[in-house]
Amino acid sequence: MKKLLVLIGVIMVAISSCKKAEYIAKFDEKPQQRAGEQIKLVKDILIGAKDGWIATMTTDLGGGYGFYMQFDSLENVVSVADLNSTSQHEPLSSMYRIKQDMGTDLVFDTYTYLSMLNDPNPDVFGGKIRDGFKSDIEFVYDHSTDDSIVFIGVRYRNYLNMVKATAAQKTVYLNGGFKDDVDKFKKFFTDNKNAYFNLKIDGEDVKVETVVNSANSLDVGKQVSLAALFPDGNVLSQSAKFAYTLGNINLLDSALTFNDITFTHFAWAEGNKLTLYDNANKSYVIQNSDVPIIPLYKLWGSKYNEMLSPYKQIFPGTSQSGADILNFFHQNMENGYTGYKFNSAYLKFVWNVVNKRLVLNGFSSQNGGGSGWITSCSYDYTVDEQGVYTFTQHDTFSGGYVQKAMVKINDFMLNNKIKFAYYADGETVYVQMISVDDPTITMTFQLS
Amino acid sequence: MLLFVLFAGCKKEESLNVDIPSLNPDEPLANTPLDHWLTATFLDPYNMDVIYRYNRYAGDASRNITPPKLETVQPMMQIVLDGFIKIYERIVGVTFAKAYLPKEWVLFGSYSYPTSGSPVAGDAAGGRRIRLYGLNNGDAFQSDKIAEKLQVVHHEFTHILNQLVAMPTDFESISKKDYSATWSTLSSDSTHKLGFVTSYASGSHGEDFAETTSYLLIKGQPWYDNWANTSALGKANLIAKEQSVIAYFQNGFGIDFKVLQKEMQTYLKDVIKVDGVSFGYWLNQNLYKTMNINLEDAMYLTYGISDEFKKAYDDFNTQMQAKYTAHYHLDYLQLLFNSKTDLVVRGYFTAESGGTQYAGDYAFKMAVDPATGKTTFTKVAQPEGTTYSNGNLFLDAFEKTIQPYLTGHEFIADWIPEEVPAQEYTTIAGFYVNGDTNNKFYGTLGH
Repeated sequence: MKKLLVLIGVIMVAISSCKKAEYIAKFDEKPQQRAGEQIKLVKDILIGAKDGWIATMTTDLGGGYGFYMQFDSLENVVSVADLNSTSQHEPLSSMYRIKQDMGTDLVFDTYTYLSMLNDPNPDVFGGKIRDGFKSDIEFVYDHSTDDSIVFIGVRYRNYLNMVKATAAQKTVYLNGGFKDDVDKFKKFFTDNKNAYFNLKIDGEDVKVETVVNSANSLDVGKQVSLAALFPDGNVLSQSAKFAYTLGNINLLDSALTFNDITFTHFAWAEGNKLTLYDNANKSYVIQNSDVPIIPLYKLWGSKYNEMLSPYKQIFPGTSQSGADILNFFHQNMENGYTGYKFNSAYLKFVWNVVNKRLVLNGFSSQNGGGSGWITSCSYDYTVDEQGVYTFTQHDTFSGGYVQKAMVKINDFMLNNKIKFAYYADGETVYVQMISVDDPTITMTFQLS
Repeated sequence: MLLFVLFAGCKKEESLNVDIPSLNPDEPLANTPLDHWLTATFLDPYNMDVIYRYNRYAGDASRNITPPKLETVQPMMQIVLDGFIKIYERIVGVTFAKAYLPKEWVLFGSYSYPTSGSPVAGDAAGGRRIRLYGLNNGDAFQSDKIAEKLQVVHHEFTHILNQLVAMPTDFESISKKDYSATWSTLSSDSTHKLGFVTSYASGSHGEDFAETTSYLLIKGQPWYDNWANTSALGKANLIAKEQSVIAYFQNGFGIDFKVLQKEMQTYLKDVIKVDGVSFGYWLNQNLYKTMNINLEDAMYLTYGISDEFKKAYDDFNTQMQAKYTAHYHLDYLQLLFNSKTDLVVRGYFTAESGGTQYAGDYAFKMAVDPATGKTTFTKVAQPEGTTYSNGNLFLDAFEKTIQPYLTGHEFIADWIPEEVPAQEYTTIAGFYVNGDTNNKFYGTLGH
């Protein structure tokens, strides 16, 4: 026993003597020194751009956004942004700081235009409740070059790319000129409803439909989409998020690759011609067609997959008889007509082009849309050369609790020949569902 | 021996010499006029830190909460200063304020949205940090929203007080059988019936105590009395809770809760102009049914009465006594608030020789603006009935004295006189002539 105690003692002494003689640093400086240098580096770069920065950024739930920012040594930042006419027009001063966190962080720490994309209150800028646009106000430093600096959003990991502005650009941004610049782009696409450019494919000119959606809506807002109907009958559709910067519409993230060509931005070429450029700096002049480049119905299943009627929203382009059909659903949610009371709901059509089917979903919720139940039915369809659809029931109603409120829309689908058309209202493009048998029945839906 | 060797090995050879600033602490520059104001107003006197520049770790890191607009910071903190810090400081003293009031104030621009349920306007953490949200909202500085934020502050501070001096055990037993973990599914109506000020209060006795305290302070005594009186089953519990809160503040901290309540109510009424804490508001709710005015009462010696009203009252009394050989004496006047627009002015009178006390009535219409307290009285035709017939006996005297006083002015309804002791605040009220606070009448309120 005594021997055992001695042995334990010896072992303990042996262990306790395993003390590390000294700390051997992997780097030549202490962590706090290296972090301190990094903080200084980032701050010096930011305030070193005497004419400020032109920044672009994408959001998870919405499109892309463009900014002008000028940082000073007292942690003030003046911003201009392409979010809305006020933010384009009125420079806003707020604060920022650089700090050490899981990297070197740039924090926009009082309210500015960029915060609007982060705001959890939908009333502020139309973001999703709780999430906003899923966009950050804290960014970790990634890398920099002589004339640019790149950050990554701390939470949503989107890039915030900044490029140094020139003195001339700064003057325009800070004096309200950016709004005119954005308006000029917007006006072009309002005036040229069927914008396109020509692309040579297999020796043939193919018209590529060009849609620039400047709305700030989630899902499809602030996106450029290109679509073409190829000679072989196939439809190709691609889209990318964009931001306005002075003189440009910038296609963000990895730009927009369409038929193996990577398009980077729109700008005004000589003679005030709006032009799309690819990454080889080849130009494609945007033109206008009198008729839609691709009939909407050709885009089902490629560019567009869904038609949505959000809760109690009747969009322009809906006739009275059409509104009656939609309202029969929406207005019978709260009153218990279905046997239950709901406080949020929507109607959604989902295309299944492969099987030539259209699914109709009626969603209902008792917690404001957070979760709920879906009642579904589906239709088989045939479509003729003019894009006129005939629907027949494939599956009758199943699931959920709102079948009773969906009867009218189901009757409409089965008893009418139907065609689809674009419907533009301001910056937003909807789909209009029109009865061929009775053209006074029209219903407008959100496209996605 | 071995042990000795082992311990000796643990001896620290030298002290660490760390240069803290070189560790890159997250400390924003603080040299704007706003920062100077915050330092001079909160940091220097109270050692309170006001964090208004976004810090993920000061909020809920899992939520998107936007920073405040710069221009909202000072107004919000001024409200915290006037509506919370200064009030406690005045009542309990600067030592208490410096020792116990929360040390960190974190401000955010948006509300804090939990994964389900309503957005949060304010919360507290660790007994030292209070977070206020939603400063950017367009209505953030409307009086009702300010009251909401101050209610949160007082609620959280009550929790802090509970950590210093334990809650009275008698409070815990009042509603013991009615506390429920599923409080969030209960409506305000159902918890009102059980004797809680809010559904949240029905979650646990700790929350109940903080809610009861903060509602007494922010909503005020008339609200609380009305809440109690409209809860048939819960009335006794609500009254018991109020008594327990009052005793707790007195026994635990030597704070006269009624004084605290009057300070708070006066601030909300006069500075923030909150709807719902004024006499005018409650007149419009027809909460009070009577106001007794007897100028022979000692109260009027203490607080005084205006000459013009005294003359009208005395003249009415004199002319009444002169009219009949019985020499009827005006015992007191009573305003009967029969509805928010129907007023009866009643004179109680007795013959010189004593005997029956009679009531003589005079019918009026009354219009009270609940927001400003502006009040006008209009005489209307005397209806039929005994008390009106009694009133008619002295109608000519009334028409020359009290009536022209009431109909000849625009009044402001208010909790006057202001100097009444806190115990009697909201039990006495009156009307002063708009623009002339010295020309007034007031009396004791009855339900």
